[in-house]
Amino acid sequence: MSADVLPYTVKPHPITGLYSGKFGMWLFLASEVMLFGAFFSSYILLKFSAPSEGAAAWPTHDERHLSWVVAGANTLVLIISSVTMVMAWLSLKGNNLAKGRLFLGVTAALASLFLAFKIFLEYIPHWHEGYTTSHSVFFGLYYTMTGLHGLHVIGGILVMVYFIGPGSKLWRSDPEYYTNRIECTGLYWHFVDLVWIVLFPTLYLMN
Amino acid sequence: MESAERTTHKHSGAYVGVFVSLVVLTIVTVAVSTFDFGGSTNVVIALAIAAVKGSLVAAIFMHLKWESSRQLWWLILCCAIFAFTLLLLPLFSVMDPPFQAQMGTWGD
Repeated sequence: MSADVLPYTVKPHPITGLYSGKFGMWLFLASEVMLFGAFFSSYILLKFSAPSEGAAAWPTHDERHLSWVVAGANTLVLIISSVTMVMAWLSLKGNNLAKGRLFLGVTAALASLFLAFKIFLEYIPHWHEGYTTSHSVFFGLYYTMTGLHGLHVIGGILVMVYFIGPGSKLWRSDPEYYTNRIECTGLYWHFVDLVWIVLFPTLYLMN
Repeated sequence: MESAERTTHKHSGAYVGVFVSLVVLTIVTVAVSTFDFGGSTNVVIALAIAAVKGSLVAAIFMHLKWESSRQLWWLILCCAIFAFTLLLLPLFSVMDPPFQAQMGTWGD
């Protein structure tokens, strides 16, 4: 039924060689690269043009008061969630919906853990210590970049919860289509992981 | 179902390998940051490790290793060129003499 409305949801499109959902997701991710790229570009420009001393000087590693331990733990959480995400897709490929949904649930739980670490162990303590968005250019960028990344994590959780719940009805009528949608969700999720892989050393480790 | 089993075997081994590599590389990134190699060497090393980690995620988790669509590779190439140019812009700005005159003054 859905294949009549949306063509090439399962079979590859003759021009792109990919089913349309996957090509669409890659186009979306290309736009996301430019979005995050603009922020990284701003970060480089502001860091290089900051005065070498004074109140507006770029904070050193110690002056940032950011815990690499929490961020490192979060990196581990995201890496594990990427593995559980691909395991969800593999389970569906192996015709096992229950296992696929379980792995999706674990991925959503790990994503929630990432957000909990970020909010309760980083944002709230920093805010109370006075490291707000207006504290310095660095903290303005820190909250903007990690906040934008956090919004993407929330978006990922919502999509996963949808596919664990009401979205999984599609499995009954068209399991391959459902599996492909999970693969597209995975592409998005791995991109979120990839952005964090760059954010972690940039904000927490580099001096 | 045979092809699905083959897919499972082919992919799951690669996923475990990438997982271990990512964890090890994260530990290496943190360990390297505790040493001062001087100049911008630390930045180069950190970004190089991040590039390797990102490539592993894209190649294995995002299945690019198994993709043969030419259109997809063109899309990725164009995206990479634009993103690289975007990251070069601030460096060009820093080298621009009128901008250099303004550098370090915005906090005053």
